[in-house]
Amino acid sequence: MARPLTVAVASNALKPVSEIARLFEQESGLKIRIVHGSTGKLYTQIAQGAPFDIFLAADRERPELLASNGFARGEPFTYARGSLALWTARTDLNLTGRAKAALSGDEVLRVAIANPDTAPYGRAAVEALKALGILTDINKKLVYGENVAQAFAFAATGNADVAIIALSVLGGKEKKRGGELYIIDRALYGPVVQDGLIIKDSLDEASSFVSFLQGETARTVFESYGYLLE
Amino acid sequence: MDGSLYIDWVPILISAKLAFVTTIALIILATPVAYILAFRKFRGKALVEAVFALPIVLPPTVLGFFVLISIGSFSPVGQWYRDIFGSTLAFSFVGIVIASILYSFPFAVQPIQNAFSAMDPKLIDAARTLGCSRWQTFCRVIVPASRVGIVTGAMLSFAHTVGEFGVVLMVGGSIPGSTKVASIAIYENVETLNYAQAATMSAVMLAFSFMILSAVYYYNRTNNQLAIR
Repeated sequence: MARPLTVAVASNALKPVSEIARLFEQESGLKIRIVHGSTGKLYTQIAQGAPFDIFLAADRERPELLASNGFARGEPFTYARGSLALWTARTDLNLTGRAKAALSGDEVLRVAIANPDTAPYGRAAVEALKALGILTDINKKLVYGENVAQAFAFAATGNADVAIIALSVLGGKEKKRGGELYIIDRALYGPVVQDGLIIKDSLDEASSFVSFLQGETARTVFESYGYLLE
Repeated sequence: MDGSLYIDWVPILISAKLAFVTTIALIILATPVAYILAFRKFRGKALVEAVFALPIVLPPTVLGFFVLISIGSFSPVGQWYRDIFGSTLAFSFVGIVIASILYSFPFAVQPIQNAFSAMDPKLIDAARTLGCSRWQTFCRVIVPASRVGIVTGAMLSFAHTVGEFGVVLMVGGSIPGSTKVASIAIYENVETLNYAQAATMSAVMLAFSFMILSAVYYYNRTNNQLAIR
């Protein structure tokens, strides 16, 4: 029995990619199976021969590394660019125009970010804090989620006052999830470029999904989830 | 991806410290619970036993999420802690100790409870008739006769806490030098493709776990033989 086209996607892009996959299924009549996890875990699984057809990572390094080690069919491609946001469940904490002072002051005890060693959005968050000039001041306040979703959970459960997350975790600018959302100035960090890869020995249909993923319909979906269009 | 065999000992030491503190706390907390479960009869005992066994069944991430919600700033406990100490309970060493106590509780209670239940009730009756108070009976008769169970409970709690991952991942926030334990450091090394570092730390953990388990079995064997002789 033929296996369905299997897409391994980094957790932060799960929602838009699922939606795009549904649209692609309707259009093509093909079936798509999605597995998700952290980029590092999916990378290790692919390097160990996991039966995936397409890898959609949260960074550029891992697809590049797979390609240079002969796990790819063709070159890596960029499918999304992510952006950062500040989120807080504390409605008493007004950050408009004074995020810098509030983060380094006494009213904020804990700031949750994704682990900068493992998660690209964590790295971008550190970059933004550094550019603001408050990284050393608030270093002791930082707590690390395994990924942006966990950093968000820390803030949503009230264990951290503020979380720096990917806008896509919330599912777009309009979804505030009962808290307050502040977009972080894009000049403060390099864009989080997310690359993908067709894995060698993949099904022939893989390339048609990849074209769809880079087409106009998919772009609209990505944009609605808070990814940047460039 | 450097291939050096340098070992980062800090997370390993945190794991050891966490396990040590948790074990001491568990023996103090689990012994009275085991005593009540072994010697008292009361309505709803099966339900109480089931509650104390829950951490064995619950996935660690589920338990960790419950803990995270219960000690968060929106809960009375979290609010109280924050007002008194001016810091959050989550992401602190105390926070992961509390989570570990909950997580390893059944591993301490059950061996102690079994040892208490397996005691010859005649010994307790004899001590009582000879004028020992309940406390004296407990210290001089029940504890010495149940030492194998208590030591087993302590060693299992220690080993179980060292092997903990999901709960600390949820509650700890992976702060280097404070809540980043060995299992999480290994996980992060795999995630960042530092396989050599991950393998070395794993080998240390493996050797350590093997030593603990060997000690438990060796201790149980020698003491059972003594009991038979």
